[in-house]
Amino acid sequence: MRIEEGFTIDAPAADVWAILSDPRQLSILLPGAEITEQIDDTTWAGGMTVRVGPLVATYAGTVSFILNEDERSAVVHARGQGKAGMGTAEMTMNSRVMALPDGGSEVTMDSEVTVTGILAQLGRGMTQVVSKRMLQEFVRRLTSALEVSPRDT
Amino acid sequence: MTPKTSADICGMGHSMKRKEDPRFLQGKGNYIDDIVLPGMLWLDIVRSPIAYGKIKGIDSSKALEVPGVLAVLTGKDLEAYNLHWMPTLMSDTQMVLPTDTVMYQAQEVAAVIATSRYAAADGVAAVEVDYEPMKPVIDPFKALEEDAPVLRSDKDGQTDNRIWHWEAGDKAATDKVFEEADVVVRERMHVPRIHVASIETCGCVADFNPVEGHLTVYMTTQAPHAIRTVLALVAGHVGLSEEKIRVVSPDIGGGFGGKVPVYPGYVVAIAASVVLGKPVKWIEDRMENLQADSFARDYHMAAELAADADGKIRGLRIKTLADHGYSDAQAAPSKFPAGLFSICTGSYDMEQAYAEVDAVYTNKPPGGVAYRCSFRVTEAVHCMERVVDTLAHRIGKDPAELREENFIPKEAFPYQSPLGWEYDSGDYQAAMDKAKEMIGYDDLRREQAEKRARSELMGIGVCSFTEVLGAGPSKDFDILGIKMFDSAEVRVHPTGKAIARFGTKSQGQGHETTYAQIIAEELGLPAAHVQVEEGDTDTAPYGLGTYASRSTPTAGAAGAMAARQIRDKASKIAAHLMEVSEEDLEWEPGKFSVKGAPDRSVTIQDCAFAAYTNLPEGMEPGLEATNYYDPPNLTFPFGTYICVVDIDRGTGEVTVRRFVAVDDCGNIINPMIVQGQIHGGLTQGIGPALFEEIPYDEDGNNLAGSFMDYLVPTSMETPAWETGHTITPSPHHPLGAKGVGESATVGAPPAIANAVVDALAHLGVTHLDIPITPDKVWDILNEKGVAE
Repeated sequence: MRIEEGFTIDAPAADVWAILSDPRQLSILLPGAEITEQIDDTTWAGGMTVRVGPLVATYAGTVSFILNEDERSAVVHARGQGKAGMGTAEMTMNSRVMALPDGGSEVTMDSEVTVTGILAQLGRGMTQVVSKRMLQEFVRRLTSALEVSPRDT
Repeated sequence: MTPKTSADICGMGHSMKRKEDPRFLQGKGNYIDDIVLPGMLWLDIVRSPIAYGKIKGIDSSKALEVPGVLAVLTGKDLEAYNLHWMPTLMSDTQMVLPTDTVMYQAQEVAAVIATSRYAAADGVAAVEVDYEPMKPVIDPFKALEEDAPVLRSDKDGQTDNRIWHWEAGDKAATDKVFEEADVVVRERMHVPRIHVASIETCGCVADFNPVEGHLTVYMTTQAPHAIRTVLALVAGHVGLSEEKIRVVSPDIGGGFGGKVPVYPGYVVAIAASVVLGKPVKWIEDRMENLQADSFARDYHMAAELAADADGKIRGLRIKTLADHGYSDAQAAPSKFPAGLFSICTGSYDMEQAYAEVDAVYTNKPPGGVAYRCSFRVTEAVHCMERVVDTLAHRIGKDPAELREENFIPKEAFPYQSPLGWEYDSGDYQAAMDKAKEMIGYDDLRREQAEKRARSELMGIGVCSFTEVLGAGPSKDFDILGIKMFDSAEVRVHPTGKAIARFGTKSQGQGHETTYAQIIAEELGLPAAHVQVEEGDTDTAPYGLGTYASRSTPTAGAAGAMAARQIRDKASKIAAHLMEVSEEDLEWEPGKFSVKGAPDRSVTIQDCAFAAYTNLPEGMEPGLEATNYYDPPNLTFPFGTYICVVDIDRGTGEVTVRRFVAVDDCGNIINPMIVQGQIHGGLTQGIGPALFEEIPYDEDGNNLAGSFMDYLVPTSMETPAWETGHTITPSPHHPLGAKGVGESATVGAPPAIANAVVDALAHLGVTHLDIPITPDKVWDILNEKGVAE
């Protein structure tokens, strides 16, 4: 499943990129995410908890970041195994931070997500809504962390 | 039909109230989940969330810490006993629990045994399985492409995903008919994967007694005797022997074919009981049931009909792809891998026909159970009845009229079909006439024309099906080599009451009533005095069980034959009691009297008492008989269904306004039960026609794995069924009866599909795949520019 999201923020691209390119900071801002240890230069171990309606799915796995500092873009690959037989989830996200003429930034995130198991069965039709809500919470936390005012996204 | 017996005796033709209903209506049925044995443990199953992948490890440690959890069984544990594999009824193989690879979502991966159902479920949640997912093969057409991975590489010699190729008919002769034909119509259609969705899910209580070496299995099975033999054959090497295996099928909350196969859960529960020496209960929850087993259909068919310009059908050609999922675990007779699909020529006389089916493996659960259907008859009838309508619309002829012109005439019976069946009896025009009269066909066509002029969408659908039921004659029909006869054992007690036991097993069909009526018909004992028992292999005679509408054609016939044997003996006793010659006796139900002296008589009850107290010299005491009935042919019930649908141009919703079902199942045992069977079957026909489907996404996720997404019809969607019947007795069945339980499930979907297409035909629509959901119709309405 393809999920395309994006937002703008009143903060310089360099500041936004500094957070988005740091897996530990990113994990603090992303609802439900957790990083437990660094495995190698580009790979971290961690977990993710997602709530879809009455379902709570907790995944444990790895996430790798391939960063392009010049373009301020990243390819993030996450792969997790659900606890309690919740199935598997895999995501490849291309994200990019672009400077806007007004001094703010635009962030685009283009993801390909594969989910198996109960979340795929029962969460059908809700996944887009849930990812949108998670992004809103992420942006709220990001603006708070950067100490800037929220913009309409 | 006027009953031959009085209302007191209540033989055939009486609408006797069901003997089983008092216990069901008072909640006193005895289903698997009602059974609780001393010391019983519970088993719950860890299932695969992915459709295809490697198992890198199973960590049971946290599960074993859950209070109440006693053991976790994996494929490796079963491998030690060589019980991790099992044969299917189609001589394919299937994993019980995997050792290294999972092949479909919801596949059994491990089993947790605990002291309560709740502890077992908590244990399941705590088992950690490490999977390495692989790209599954979901599309059956892609499964046959050259670069598709070979899913069943575990099978010797399997080099692709094809399971088998089957064909029937003369291909060359059929091709020639098509070359010469004035008109050829073609239609591609999919009868999708659906689920039987019976109220009761599958389960068992396995009770192994380690002291006696005796195994009792209480099990949701439609075929207890066959299961006992299969258990003895596959588990002989671990010490289970057939005389020490007892399979009991208690009350069953709906089977519909879904409770014929052997599922891994049963085997794991039995293995767990043998290993632990304790009774073990396994019962599926609803989502397990909807995701792991009891799947039916999934035939992709390309049908062609050849006809003369005036619509005389000359030939039929069908090419089919059958998606069986991971294993060919359907329950069809051995010689019929595509079931009785060759009934596809239906009610129509034609020169030639040719049908072929290719079966393939995919990463879906094993499918193909005969859901309220005599082995692929549903698919065959749907295909034929749809393409007949395509022909009617192509040549501009009324669909009912086209059918009438092509019916096998009643004088032609017994009729030899081009695909090899000998139809026993039929009068198709009579059923059509009655259905048209009941629904007011000509008036409806006028109404449709008026509405069409006002751009309202109304359709009339006709289906004239013929079924092939009652498998079957032993020369052709067996399951794993066991011939498909069935049996009855009737014992009359001294006071004139009787017990009758059968090799079949009711799952709601009302055997306790109808079988008693058969005995009453033949012996003149009141049906109320005949106790019917089935389902316990320790007491019932051997039989192949209840599915494919076979109970009346086989075990019902056996009951009649056994009763006749008893009547023959009673006749000798009556002659002895009245001191006359047997030739001087006359029989009327319940009584022997002396010809010419009707006041001199003895009742069947008198004879029964004498059988134990006052026998003719030299006669063996007792009054009982056993009959194993091997039917000479199958039975071919038929009917015409006509329905009217209205389509909402705003939402695409299809409403079935009226539905008339005229059935002919030969002589009727209990008209009320037959009507109930038809009502239930029609409801299970409207479901697949309009709502039900188990789709999978490209990752192999089941997208209708709960009743949130698998939409069974409720009373809201169900019209007031209008039923009628004609009677054309079967010439070879001892009672002239035919099977009927599945006619409506088979006949209803094409009638409804034909009605929807009929409503849209003037817009150029020739076909819609079932289920015809509002969004499918809405898309068409928009495409044709008629949506509101």
